Order: sequence, then C-alpha cells, then structure tokens
Amino acid sequence: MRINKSWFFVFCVIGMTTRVHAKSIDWMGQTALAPTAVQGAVEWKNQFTFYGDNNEFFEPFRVRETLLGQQFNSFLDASIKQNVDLWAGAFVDHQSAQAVTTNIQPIFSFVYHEGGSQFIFGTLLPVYRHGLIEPMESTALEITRPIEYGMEFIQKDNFINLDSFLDWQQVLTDVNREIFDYGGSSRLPIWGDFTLLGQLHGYHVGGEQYDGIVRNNLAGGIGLGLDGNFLGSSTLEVFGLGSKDTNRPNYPGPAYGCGLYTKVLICPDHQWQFFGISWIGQDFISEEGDGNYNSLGTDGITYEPSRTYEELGVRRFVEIENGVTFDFELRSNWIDASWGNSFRFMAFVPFDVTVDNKNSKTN
Amino acid sequence: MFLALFIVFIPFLFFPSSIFAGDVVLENTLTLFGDVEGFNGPYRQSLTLLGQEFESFFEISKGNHTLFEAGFFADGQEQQNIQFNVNPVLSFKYYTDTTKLILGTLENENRHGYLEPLEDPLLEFTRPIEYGFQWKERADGFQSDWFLDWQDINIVNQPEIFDYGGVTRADVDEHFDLEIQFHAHHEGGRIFFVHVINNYVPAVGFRLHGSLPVLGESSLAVFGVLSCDFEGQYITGPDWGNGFYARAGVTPWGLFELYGIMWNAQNFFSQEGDPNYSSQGLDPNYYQANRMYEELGFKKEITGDKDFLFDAEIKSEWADAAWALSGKMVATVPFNLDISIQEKKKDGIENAN
Repeated sequence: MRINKSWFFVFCVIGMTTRVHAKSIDWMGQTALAPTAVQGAVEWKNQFTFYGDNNEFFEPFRVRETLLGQQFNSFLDASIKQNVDLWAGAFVDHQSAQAVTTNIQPIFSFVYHEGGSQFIFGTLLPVYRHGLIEPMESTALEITRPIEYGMEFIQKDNFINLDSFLDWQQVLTDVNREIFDYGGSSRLPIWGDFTLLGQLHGYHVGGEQYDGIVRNNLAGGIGLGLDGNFLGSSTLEVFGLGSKDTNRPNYPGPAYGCGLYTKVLICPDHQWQFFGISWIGQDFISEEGDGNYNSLGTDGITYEPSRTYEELGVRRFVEIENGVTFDFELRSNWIDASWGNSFRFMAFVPFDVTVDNKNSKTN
Repeated sequence: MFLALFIVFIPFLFFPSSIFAGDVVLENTLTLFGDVEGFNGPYRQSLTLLGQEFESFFEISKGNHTLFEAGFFADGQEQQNIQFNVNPVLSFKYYTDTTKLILGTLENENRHGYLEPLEDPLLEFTRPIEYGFQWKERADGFQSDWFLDWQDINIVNQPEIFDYGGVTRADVDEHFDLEIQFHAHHEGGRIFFVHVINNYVPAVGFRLHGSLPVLGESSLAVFGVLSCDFEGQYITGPDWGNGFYARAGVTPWGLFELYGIMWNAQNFFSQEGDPNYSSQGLDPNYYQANRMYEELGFKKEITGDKDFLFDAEIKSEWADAAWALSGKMVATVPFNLDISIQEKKKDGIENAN
C-alpha cells in the first residue's frame, strides 16, 4: 500500500476541528452512531430501503441517470462483551428491472463502543456519506455504495461530532490497482450558535506490488455554521474547500483547485426542509464528489476552470410509524448557465428482532 | 421522464404519522398454467406455454398503515431439465382504508385492469413480476391503479426500458361505469446516448353490467383507443392511430361466461398490446393500416373459498380474414402461515405478534 503524506494527517485534521454540542436537526444528515445490541443479547437487525433517484442533467459534468430499486441488509448483532458487538449477515441490492443481477455482499463487523465513541472494523454502514458535503462525496453514493469495508471512528457527544473512515474499495491484484478512499467530517461548536466545520476526503489508486499508476485526489476544507430560528429552525453553512489532484492521466487542469460552498437550510417544522446551495469553484476536483461541482467533465476531456452551481430544493421527511420513515427531495439545479432538475425518494423500514436475550444484563 | 415519475409519486408526499405494530405472515402462492396461442403470423407467432410459478414472501406489518414484504418469486417452463428464474420480492406498502402506495415489487394481477389492445394478456405469464412504484385507490364507486414498471436499466448497448400508466374507473350508478386507461412504453437513457422512443396509448370508455334473466351476469364494455409514437417510432405507419373496442359477455345459468370481442382500428400500435390488435406485423415491412379482429370465447372460473382458483378459457379468433383457436388454463393455490416473531421496539419494548 502506498500512502502519501497527507494520509497521515487525516485523523489529525479532523480531530483538530472537532468538539462540542452543535445544535442540529437530526434528519439533516448529521453524524450518527450505529445502534448496538442490548448488553448480552443477540439481535437480528434488518433494514429495507426502497429508493428512487432521478436527475435530468444535460451538462457534461454529471451523468444523467435514474436509479430505482430495493436494498436489504440483515445481520445478527451479538453483544459479546460489555462494549463489544459482532455483526454478521448480508446486504442485498436489487435494481428494479426484469433481468438484473441481484448484488449480495457480506456484513462482518467488530464494533467497539463506549459512551459516545464507536469504532467499527469490517463492514461500515455509513450514514449520509459520513457527513461529507456534496462537493466531497456525491449524494448518489448513498444509493450506489450503501455499505463500505474498512474502519470507522465515530464520536458523538457534547464535545465532539466526528465521523472518520477508511473505505477499501478494491484490493491489489495483477490486473487491478488497489483503491481506497478516506476522510471524514467534523463539527465543533465554538461560540453561541456558531460551529466550526471540517471536511476531508481522499481517494487513492495505487499499489507497489505490481507496476501501474499511482494517483491521489485530496479535497478538504473548513467552514463555519450558524444555527438560527429564521422561519423555524435554520442553518447557514459556509465552506472554503481546496483540492489537489496528482498523476491523473491526461488531466487538463492544474493540480490545485478551490471552491466556496454555501448552504442555507430552513425547517419550518420537523417534516419539511427548504434548502439552497451556492457553489463557486476554480479548478476544483473531488474524485467522489458530485460532478456538478467539478471542473472536469465525466468524459475526462471537458474542462471548465471556473464553475458555478446553484441548487434550490425542498425535502419532506416523515416517520410514518414504528421507525418506518419516508424521505422525499425535489431539487432545481443550475449548472453554470443551464438548468436541470432532480428528485429522490427513499423509504426505510427497520425490523429488529431479539433472538437471544437469556444472558442480557442491565447496562 | 421526470414528469411521469413525479406525477405517479405525488401521493407519497403526504404520509401522515401514527404509531402501531402488527403481524408476520408467510404468504405462498403456487400457480400452474398453460397457454396456447393459435395464430402464427402475420401479427404474432403461435406459442405454447406450460409452466409453474411459486411466490413466497414474508409480509410484515409495521403498524396500522405500513407493511413490507420480502421473499422470492420463481417461475419455470415445464420440461425435463426445468430451470427456474428466480426474482426477489421486496415491497414497501403504505395503506389506508382506501389508498395503497407501493414501492418495489408491484401488484400487477390482471395486468392492472388493461384492455387487451393496451397490454397483451400473455404478459401475465411472461412478465408475472414487476418492479417500480404504484398508487392504488379503492373507494365506494371508484377504483384506480397507476404505476411505473421499470423493466431494464440503462447499460452499454441496452437502453433503459420502462412502462407506466394506469386505469381509473368511476361508477356512475349501479350498472354503469366510466373508465379511462393510459399506457406508455419508454425506451431511452442518456448515459450511453441510446435513441429515445415513446409509445403512448390512452383509452376512454364505459362499462354496463348487471344480471339478466337466463343470461345471468352480463356485461358490455365499449372503448375508444388512441395510439401515438410521436417521439421516436416503432412502426412503419403514421404517428397516430385509433381503434374501437367492444366486449360483451353473458353467463347463462351461471355456468360459464360466453363473451365476444370486436375490434376495428386504423394505424393502431401499442408496444405492449396484443399484436393481433396492431397494424404493424411481425415483419417490419408488413403493415396493414385498417385492422379488424374478433374473438369469441368461453371462460370458466372455479373458486374454493380462497383455497384455490381454477380458470379455463378457450377462444376462437378472427384476425382480418384468418382464423385460429387459442386457450389457457390457470390453477392458483395460495397457502399462508402465521409466524410468531417478536419485533424489538425502539424503546426496548417488544411486540408479541
């Protein structure tokens, strides 16, 4: 495994920008701890996800596509020690179509948890892309890559709100390069309603055992969040982001880029959210970010050094009953000078069963 | 595309909130079928299907308004080395007394209620399972079923394919219903820049039904149907077509249904309709602008108080000047099992089901 220097700073940078008690609305996509079994119990956890995602983009920066399907993860969560859980099960993804391959992947995780800290080793079940904003990781990944393999550290308490991870995507073989991404997000309340925000995402292609390309993409930045009570509960987030891309074949742009990301959220109640995003970018590129924020097109040739992108949207989130939730989002997108639209819906249906509670003890 | 998805989806926006818990049932259905299509060109090929379908899924209620289903559907054609095609059953259903909203595997019995020119009855065997989303309403004097069925995803050398539409029926009085139907078929997808084609088929008509002396339960359905391919083109004929559909049926002494269908069309084409109603032949160069089609059949249904359903049908068909004999038999046997599972609640309290 070949790692550039910045890799070692990942957790340090995120850790430095983390602390405290940001006032936030849970369903807005904040860091979440994975639920663990009652001590001494074995629980069979199931979650069904029904998704649809459609965009009508005609610009060369992001692929126009429709995703429609169902996902199902089912695993046993065994509490084997006071702070240790083991997960074992399977994840199934079925795209809605007559003749498609149903994708089945294993779930095996070691989970250490104590208070607001959680370390997961093995299969990761990321929530809202580990808290990364759209230029860093595309929202489509919530559907196309709902589980990851690697390690994750989450801290969520009055002092810290952090989700950091390493996601191994492809192992090194004589025909494949190793691929992994890493990074995380953090929130650090600093004064009153102000929060210091941190973001980092790296993407690495390499491997020393076999000759081949070694390239890295790193994007990150810091921001400021302000929580208020304008028209209900509201939040303003402003990020200054930078990117560095090295050794990408035939890359037409410079190695360094930057961007300014501003997002306004207004929640009149707990079920509706109105939001607006503004983005100004200069030679910015994040490998797994939403292509609409990048200067490089999906064809690898189109290149626009100066980019602007705006988004207006409304989101409806409702818990119907017994943990069943429904999430709908409708967006209007302005990509430079052209207009597009997109929407998404997701229904989440959890179904947890206590398999063995004979040895359960009171926490 | 965006509009079609969005319109079918609007009702999902207005889920109310409530809290309850429910039951787990293992639902199983075994279906044995045989179908013989006698016509052999120019509009459709003769065909014999003989096979079985088995559907098994857990239906888990999450409360008074939501449930989900998880299981599988398998179907195979009768032969020595039978091979089963297995598909997942994964559905999320939100329901009230009158409304049902479905994501995932759809409820597509009786082809959503479509007339034969809009959807071929053979699809009940060749496409028994559909995926997408669906909105069904059933209230006094009103029923509706609108859906989007995703058939193929857009990959290299394969366009995305989906069909959508629905049927809405309103009772004017006890014996007279008004009905609209719409079916659309789309092929396209921009990821790999495949050519885009759309076929739209709306229909409007009425149904008369009631009991007559000797003739028993009787019905008359009359519909005017349009078709168009103004975005892309499937056929060699003009973009617009139309047809007149009438079906009359009687059930003498309650023994069986004797029915007749009459179809008269001009340049009609529905991508998923029974090809016998179409102006376009199997050979792309064969095109008959004016079409006539008649059908006379016997139909017998035997039901055993939800234990089984046996449906047999034999029909004599006239397509223009040609004649053929077709028929089908379907036996359906459902059996359900209640499963005792305790769901762990969010607050730690368990529900005994």
